[in-house]
Amino acid sequence: MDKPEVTVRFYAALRARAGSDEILCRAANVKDVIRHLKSSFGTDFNRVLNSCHIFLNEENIVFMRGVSTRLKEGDTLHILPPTGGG
Amino acid sequence: MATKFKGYMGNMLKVNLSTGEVSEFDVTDRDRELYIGNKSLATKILMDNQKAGIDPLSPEAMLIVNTGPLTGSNAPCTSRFNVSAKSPLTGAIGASNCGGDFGVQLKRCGYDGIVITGKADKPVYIDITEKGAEIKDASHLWGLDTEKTQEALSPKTGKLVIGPAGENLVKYACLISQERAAGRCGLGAVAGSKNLKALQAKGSKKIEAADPEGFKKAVKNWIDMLKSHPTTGETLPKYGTANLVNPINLSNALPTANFSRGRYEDAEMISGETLAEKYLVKNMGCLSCPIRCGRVVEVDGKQVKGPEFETLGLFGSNILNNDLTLINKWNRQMDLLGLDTISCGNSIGFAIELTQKGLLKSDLKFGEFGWMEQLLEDIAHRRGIGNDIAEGSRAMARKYGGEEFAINARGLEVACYDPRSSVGMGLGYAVSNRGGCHINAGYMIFMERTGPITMDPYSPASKAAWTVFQQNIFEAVSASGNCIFTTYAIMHKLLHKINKRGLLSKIISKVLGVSGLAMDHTAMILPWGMPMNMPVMIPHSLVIGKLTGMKMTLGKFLQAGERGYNIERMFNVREGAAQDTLPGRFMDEKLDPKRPPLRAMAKMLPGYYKVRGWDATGVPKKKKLAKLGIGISASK
Repeated sequence: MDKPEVTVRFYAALRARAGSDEILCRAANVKDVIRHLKSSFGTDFNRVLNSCHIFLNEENIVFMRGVSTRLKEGDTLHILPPTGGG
Repeated sequence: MATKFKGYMGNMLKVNLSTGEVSEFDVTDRDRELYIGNKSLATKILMDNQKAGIDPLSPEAMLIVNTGPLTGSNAPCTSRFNVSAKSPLTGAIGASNCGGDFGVQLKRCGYDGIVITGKADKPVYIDITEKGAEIKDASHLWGLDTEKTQEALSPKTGKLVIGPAGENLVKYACLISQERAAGRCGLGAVAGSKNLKALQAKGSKKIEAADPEGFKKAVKNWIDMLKSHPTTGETLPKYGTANLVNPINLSNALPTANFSRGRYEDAEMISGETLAEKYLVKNMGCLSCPIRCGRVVEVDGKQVKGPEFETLGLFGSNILNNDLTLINKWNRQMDLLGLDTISCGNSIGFAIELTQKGLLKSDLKFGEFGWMEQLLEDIAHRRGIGNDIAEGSRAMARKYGGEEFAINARGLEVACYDPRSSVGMGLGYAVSNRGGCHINAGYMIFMERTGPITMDPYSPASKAAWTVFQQNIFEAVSASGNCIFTTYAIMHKLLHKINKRGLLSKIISKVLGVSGLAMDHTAMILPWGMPMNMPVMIPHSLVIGKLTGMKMTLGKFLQAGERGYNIERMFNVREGAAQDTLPGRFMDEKLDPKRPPLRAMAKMLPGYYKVRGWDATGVPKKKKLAKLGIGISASK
C-alpha cells in the first residue's frame, strides 16, 4: 500500500533554499519526510533544517512523537527556521 | 566632568517649562553603577523626585528622556534611548524604548538625559546644543504630523516629536524619532500635556571608552556574533519582526477576532514572507545596527517604514483583515498621527466586539474596513467614537462593559501573543510592571515556542524562575542603551544546530522544565556568584566594562536588571498600580478545548513572588530592597 501523501510547507529563509513554498511527498512518518528533504535539496538547506521547528498540522512534533510521529493522507508539515522579533 | 566613568557624558539637563528655567540635574556615580542608565535610572529619578499620586498629565509630572552608557558608543544596536514617566494610560510606570537618532545626538551635546517638568503656556520645543537647552516657540508646528514636524525642525539634528495624538492627549500617544517610535504607555500624551511638541539635539562631542582597544575588539566580536547568528544574521534582516506571524499562528497564539481565537486562516497573507515577497523595497536599521530588522515599503508612491509583527497581528488577524496593503497604509497613518499601534489596534478590536455584542453603537465590524482611516483620524483628534477609543480598552470597558474581553493588563493593551498557548507569557503579562508588554513580561514565548530549545508551553513548571531571569536581563540590556534583539544571540548559534527532534534536544527541554529549583536561587548568588563575563553569550557586561571602566561582571549586570525591575515595582506599589492579573478572556475562556484557561495556572504567581523576594501581595520585601541597595519604602 502506498504511503500517505502529505504537503510540506516551508517558511522564511527556507523557501529560497527550497525554491518553493511547498512540496508534496509520500511518507509514513516525519523521519521519512526529513530523509526525502535531505536528498532533494542542497547542503545549505540541510544546514538550516536541523534548526527548524516542525509542526504537523497545528502541533509541534516536539510535543507529539517527534520524528516517529505517523502521518496520514492530507496532513501538512510546516517547517520553520529560527524566528525572532517582538 | 561630573562622572568618573567613561561612556557617560556626566551631565543631565533639567527643564521647567512653566518657569522657563534650564538647569543641570545631578546624578551620582553610585546610581550609575547601580542602575546603569535609561529606564532603570529614570525610574529611580521618578521615585526620588516626583510626588506620589500625581496626575500624569499635570504640570508637576516629570517626563524623562534618558540614555545608557552604550547609547551612541558604536557598539552594535546602541542608538537606543528611553522615555519615562508615570503612564496616563495605566497609572503605573511608563517607559518606552526608541531606536531613533535623538539619544545619540543628545549625548553628542554632552548630556545623558533630560528631565522635563512644568507646562509651557503655549506650544514649545526644546533645542539642545553643546551650550545647553533653549525653549523655543512651536506654534507653527502645533497640529502638524510627526513627519512634517521633523521636516520643519533644523536639518541634521536628532529629533523626538509628537503628532496630533499627543497634542490631543490620546492615552496611548507615542513619540517619534526619525521613523522609530517610543511607542507604549502614552508618553506622547505626557509631552502634549506640557505643550511640548518636540525636542531636537545636535552636537559633536565624542563618547570616549575607558579601554579603547579592548572596547573595539569586544565590539568587533559582538558584531561578528550577531551577523553569524541565524536569528540576527538572517531571519530578522530578511523578514523583520514580521517573520513571527506564521510561527505564532501555528502556535495557536496569534490574536484573532479580539483574542477569541489563536489561529487565523489567512495568516500567510499578512506574514513576513508575503511582506518580503510583495511589498518590501529594502530593509533598514537604526544607527549602528548590524541586524537591520526595519522594513521599507511603498505607500502612496512614497518609501516609508513598514509594519512590525505587532501591527500586522493587531491590524490583521485580530480584526479579521487579510489585506497587507491596508496594514501598510494604516501603519503609516498611525506613525504620522503619533499613535501606538499596539494599544490602538487592540482597543479597536475591543470596540468592534463591543459593537458586535450590542454594548456600543457604532459601524465598526470585523472584516470590513471602509471606516478605518477616518477612525484613526478621529482617535487622534478625539472625535466621536474615536474619543472613547482614545482612552484605551480599560477605560472603555468601565464605560460600556465587556471588561472580560478588554484585553489589557494593568491597563496596557496586551501585545500580539495569546498567553493561553504560552503560559509563561501569561505570567509575564500579569506581573509586568508596565502592563501588557511582551518585553517587560519577559518574552517567555521564546522559551516556550519559538526558541531553539523549548519548554512545555502549557506547563507552569519552572516558568516563574525563567520569567524572572528573562525580565532581569531585558531590564539590564535596556538600561545599558542596547537593543533587546541582541539577546537572541544569548541562545548561541550552536544551540540552533542541535537537532530539535533528537535526544539531546529532549534532554535539554526536560532539564529546563525542572531547572526552576536551581534557578529560584540564582538571585541569591548575585553578584558574587558570577564574578566573570561571558562574552560568547552575553557580551553586554564585558562591553559596558570596557567602555565605562566600571568593574562590570555578568553578576553585577544581571543584578542591575533585577534592581531596575524592583524599583519599577516599587513605583507601582507607591502609585497603587501593583495588582497582577489578566483579562477574564485569558483566565476563564479556553483557547484550545484540550487545554485549561489560565486561571488554572494562577499557582505560578506565588512562586514568582517567592523567586522575586516579594511578599504574597507582590510587594518587594525590605530584605530584598536592602540587598539591592534600594533605599526606599513603599510608603514614601
